[in-house]
Amino acid sequence: MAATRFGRLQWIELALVASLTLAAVWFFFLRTDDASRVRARLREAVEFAEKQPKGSGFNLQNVGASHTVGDFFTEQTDVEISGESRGDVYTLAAESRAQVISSYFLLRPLLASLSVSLAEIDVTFADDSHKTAAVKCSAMATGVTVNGDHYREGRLISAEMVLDDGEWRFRSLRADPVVSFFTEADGAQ
Amino acid sequence: MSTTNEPPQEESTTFVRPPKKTDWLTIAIRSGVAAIVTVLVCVFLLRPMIINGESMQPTYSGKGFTFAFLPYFKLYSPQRKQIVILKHAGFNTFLLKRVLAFPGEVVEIRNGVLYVNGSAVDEPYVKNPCDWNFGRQEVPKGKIFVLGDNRSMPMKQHMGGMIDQDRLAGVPLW
Repeated sequence: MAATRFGRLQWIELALVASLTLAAVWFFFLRTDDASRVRARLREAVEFAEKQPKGSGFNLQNVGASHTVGDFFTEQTDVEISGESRGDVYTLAAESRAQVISSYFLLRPLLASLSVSLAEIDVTFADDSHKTAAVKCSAMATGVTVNGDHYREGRLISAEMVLDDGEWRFRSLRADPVVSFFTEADGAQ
Repeated sequence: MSTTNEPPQEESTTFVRPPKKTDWLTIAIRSGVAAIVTVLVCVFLLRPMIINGESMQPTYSGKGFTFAFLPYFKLYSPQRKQIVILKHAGFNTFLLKRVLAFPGEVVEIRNGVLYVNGSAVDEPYVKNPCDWNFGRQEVPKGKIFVLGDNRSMPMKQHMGGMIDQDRLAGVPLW
């Protein structure tokens, strides 16, 4: 009988492991508060931006990506993604959903593959209504350009997301280099 | 009616212990506890790191291994010329750099020589020739100025400069 073979210490250990496992599953997968909805939406946007290399199989998300990228942004938005890549400083800017979509179509063919991992996601709500959220996180983008160059770039993301027609959308989005020779004031050098 | 005349058997006085069963469940649970403790140590105390890259040569070769002591900057402040580990982005990428200037200080690199507040910094760890030039800039509040030791690589390919102070993750154990 299990009760006789299984001592009190073992039961305590089993309860401890089970509790920790349940807590981890709840914390990482099952929470459904507003902050976790914002995080989920952010991850969804990243999944749409990602691009699988050719030959890795049919990817339904990539097919749909070009049609839905605009859904992640409000009609009037403020996107500025600046950085340095091998010393070249560049800035990608968009002020509307239409500009985001056209930039997306312009840039996406330059990449053979793109993979993005997010970390340190911090969500802060502007007020108790939880309809506007300030989001900060770090992102690591890795992939290959169509020229065959491998890239690996880190960015600090700061965004404002709003609940618009029942969906969380970007009202502003900035991506800055984590480490840079240039300060913000000199960023355009 | 039959009777048996067999001699009475003597009771054995030898006690035999039953074979000890392997308690797989206990082993599994204790392995789980050990795994959790190991993960907690690696996440919060000593994180194993694979060094990959040329920017800290010759102090660190292109490939290597170390542990990051994570609570260091909860106890101490960064020192000039100290080698530190900085959070880059994502969960798995960190930077190994040397701290060279603090907020309010003005940095400049002329013909490969680093100047902080107008004074040349003695950098014995920089072994290779350097021809970098970098205009005067004040380190903003909340940031630090970091560089790798390998200044012979093109400045364009060297990841260095201003970084948020709160991205200090720890120090390498060796």
